[in-house]
Amino acid sequence: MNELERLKSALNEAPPEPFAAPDLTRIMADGTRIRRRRRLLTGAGAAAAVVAVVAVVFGAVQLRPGPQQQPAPVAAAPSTVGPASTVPSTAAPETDRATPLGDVVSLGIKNAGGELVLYAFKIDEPQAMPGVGFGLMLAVRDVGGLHPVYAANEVNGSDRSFGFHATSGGLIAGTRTTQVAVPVLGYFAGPAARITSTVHGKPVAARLAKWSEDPNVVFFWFDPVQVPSAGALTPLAAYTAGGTRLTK
Amino acid sequence: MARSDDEFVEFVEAASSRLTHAAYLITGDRHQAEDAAQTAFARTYAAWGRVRRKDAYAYARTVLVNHIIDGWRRPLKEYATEEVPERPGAQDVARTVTQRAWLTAALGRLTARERAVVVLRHFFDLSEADVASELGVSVGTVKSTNSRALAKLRVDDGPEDALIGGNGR
Repeated sequence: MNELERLKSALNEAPPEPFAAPDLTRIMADGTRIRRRRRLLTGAGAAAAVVAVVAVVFGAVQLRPGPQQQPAPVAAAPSTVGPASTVPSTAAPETDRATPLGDVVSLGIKNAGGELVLYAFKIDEPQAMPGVGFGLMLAVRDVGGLHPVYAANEVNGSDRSFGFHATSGGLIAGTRTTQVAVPVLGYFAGPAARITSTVHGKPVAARLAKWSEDPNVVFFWFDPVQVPSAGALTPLAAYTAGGTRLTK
Repeated sequence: MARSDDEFVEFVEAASSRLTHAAYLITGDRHQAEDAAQTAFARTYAAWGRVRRKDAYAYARTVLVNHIIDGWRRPLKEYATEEVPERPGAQDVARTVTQRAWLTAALGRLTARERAVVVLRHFFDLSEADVASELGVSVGTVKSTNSRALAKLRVDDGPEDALIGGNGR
């Protein structure tokens, strides 16, 4: 037996104590919730709205298809991850979501409906999210104004704690008639001047814009051509203007 | 319970032990591993209608690994080090216990990505191309990461007959 075979043998060694049995009831309940929200996202359950308003909230800093959700509080959603965990926002008033806090940032991306823009919007949910005062909104801007499409915000802790927040996107949002390719986006709280990742081993850099209301908050988004889905990305890295890495 | 649900229950009962074990090898934490497996099964159930006639196990494995990788974006608990682990002495008797202890310590010295590559490559026996696909990286990255991990583990990727985990060469 060579060393590699011995490594495999060690890896396959049974644990000293068996692992806890999976909680099937919870698994199936969580799975059902995820499935329901996926249907909402793809428009299967959406009513015939001319412009779809799909608000999504992601906990922390995660990108891949999604796990457990929390019962949606506000613009509501999952405590942990995933594009799949999207739900229509019901609690946040439409006016709040369509009213930018600070400047509206053009992403330099146009589709049939207009140009994609990003802005912060107010969140006021002191009971559900006491540390969260704003979220990010991706919207389509045309001659008629702003049409919110996709929202993401922190749901746990403070919205301005150091690090990545509300990282999400890389999916199609909207109804079957009005679909928007949502770039992977989010914001970094801290002095980030460069944010990078890799897709299939190739480095990619996000585009950045400082929030006019707080220059310590940096919006970022990836070119959807370079980064077609969030799942392709490796962990994000942020750097200062001097090149110092801010994250592990 | 619907027939497809019965099949899902059977699937979980058959797959949970190995998937949770894999999660434990990657994370080094029992509770985290059990939570990760739980989450992977929930997501698999959400897609059950689509994957039950395909390779549900592969789907669950991919979801599991991706979920753990997602965790790397949270405050990280890494154990990266430039130093290779010391081998335990040659006097150990209970080889299984020693091997397990060695493995736990050795995997703990790998980075999260190295652990994932080692587990996918040598626990699940996936090809380098499949590992690259699951992790969303290039095959070259898998090769170099695997090579670096094995070096830290002091495992030769060759036919030499040598021992790991406590009995010395």
